[in-house]
Amino acid sequence: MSPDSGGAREQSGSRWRVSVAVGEGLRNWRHGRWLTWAATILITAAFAVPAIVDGVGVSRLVAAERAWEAAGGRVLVATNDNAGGVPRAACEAASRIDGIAASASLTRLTARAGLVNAPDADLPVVAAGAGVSGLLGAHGGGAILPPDIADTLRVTAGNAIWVSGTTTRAADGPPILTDAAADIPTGRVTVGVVTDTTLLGERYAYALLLPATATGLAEACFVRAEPGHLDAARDALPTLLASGGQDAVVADRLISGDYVRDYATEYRQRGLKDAPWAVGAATALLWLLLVWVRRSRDGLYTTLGADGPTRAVIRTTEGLALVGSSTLAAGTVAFGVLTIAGADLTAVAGGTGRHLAIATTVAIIGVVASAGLPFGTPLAALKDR
Amino acid sequence: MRLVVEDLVFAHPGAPPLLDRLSLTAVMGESVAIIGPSGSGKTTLLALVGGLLRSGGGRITLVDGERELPVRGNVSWVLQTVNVLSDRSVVDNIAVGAYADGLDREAALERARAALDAVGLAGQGHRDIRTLSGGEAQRAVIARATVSDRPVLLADEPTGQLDRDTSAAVIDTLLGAASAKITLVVTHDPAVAARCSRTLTLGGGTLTAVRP
Repeated sequence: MSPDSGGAREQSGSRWRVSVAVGEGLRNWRHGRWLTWAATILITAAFAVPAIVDGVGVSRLVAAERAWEAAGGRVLVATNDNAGGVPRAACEAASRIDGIAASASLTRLTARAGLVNAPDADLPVVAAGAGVSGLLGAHGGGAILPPDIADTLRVTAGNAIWVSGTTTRAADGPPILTDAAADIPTGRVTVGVVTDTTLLGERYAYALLLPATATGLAEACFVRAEPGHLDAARDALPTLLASGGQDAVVADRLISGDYVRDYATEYRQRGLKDAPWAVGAATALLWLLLVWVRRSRDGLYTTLGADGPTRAVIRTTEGLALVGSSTLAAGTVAFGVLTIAGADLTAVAGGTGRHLAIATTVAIIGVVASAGLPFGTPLAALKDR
Repeated sequence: MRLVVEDLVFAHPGAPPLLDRLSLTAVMGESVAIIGPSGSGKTTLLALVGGLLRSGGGRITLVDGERELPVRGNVSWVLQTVNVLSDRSVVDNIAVGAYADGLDREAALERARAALDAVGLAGQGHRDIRTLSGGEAQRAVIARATVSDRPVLLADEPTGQLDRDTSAAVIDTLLGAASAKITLVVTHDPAVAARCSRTLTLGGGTLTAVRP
């Protein structure tokens, strides 16, 4: 190179450092002022609003489904009066089958229970298989007492009560050939759990539930099916719980039919489920519009020695910063509003995160793809200023 | 080092040639004014030299002794309108001009401050570029064009939007800062052309010497 050649270069490509181009994109984002702020607010709202509306809807749906389940939704009751009952062992083992969440055998007895200091108290007693804890969502073994009885008797978990008398059948029930009485504890018994038992229905709910061994026959077998397995369980249980050559009779614990809400279908078919795909695509289009509006900046960078790939890095970095900051803002807004609205965050966190993840991913794909789009010649871009 | 343009041809689609076998040579330290009526192709000529447009034929090269170097990548610009990054500071705008030399940000900012001093804007680097007057902004653009080592400077109507006094000051700044470059200046202003080393008229697709 001759002395007067100065900084002349032998290649026509860009000498911009990648780090400098990335920094330039970030500075363009940081100093974008009203246009960047407007875009950020717009994208944040587009990301957050459908996520919030969907989250509130899902939260309500989950709460309704939980209330339905607590009342006995998705619970089947198997009986077999002709055979004298359903086999306890088969009933308790049913919970190990795919699609069955819990199962428990129950028999109402004529035994009565009373307090230690009031042995003559007259509490109904139900012999319950070990699966009853899972069926009720209770944790802990031993005797189970519903809250209203516990409150009346001022008994809590850990207190002792007195169980008197033995019987083999409920006095007011159908004839049952059961030996449950021999297997339930009598005398001084400790209350293990106080929990809501209403899903068991009138016959079994208002009673002291005492653990019974899984032998012989029970009056009824309660089975909770997992979502989507109710019909299969309804079909399989008569044979599974057959006794003495007689199939069991299976009925829904709650009334079911066309007018009962189908929560799983409602969840699958909710209107805003696919909104994040559209939101992400709209964000990508908004970014394209911004790039087009500011195409003279692209032309300017060309005059400053930035080649196509360098300009793409500058543009893409700014776009990613815009989408990333909007996602963070949308996440904060969405979870903040859902918290204030009293939504069940454990139930909606996954769905809200999915909303934001899909919208962000689609928008990022759009931003990255737009880096390769031509926006006319640099000269035209500069003249369009 | 010389800028050599040989037999350059350019035509817009479906139109007669705007530039027709145009040739031009300019040497290091020389400033060449290009004048001519509107639509004669002056800006197009600069855009072709600067690599913003593709020609329909001919060659544009930088000749350095026995070697030929590509012009593209060795060019800096002062444009007709004040093209700046409007949401950035003055020094930031000038530093961007140095990135083409492969500098990192700190080194570019250091050069930018020195370039600001050279164009009479010392101490103004922190200002929002939009707060500068038209003359100050054009001097900042000149600083951006001369902050880099690129040997060819293309100026398209650098004083087109300035009053007469400001125009004289800006052209002084431009030619002073570009004294060690090959400078092509497109202008309508005879006073600006008179300050250049020589003047060529573009018409009918070719250049004619007005003031050799």
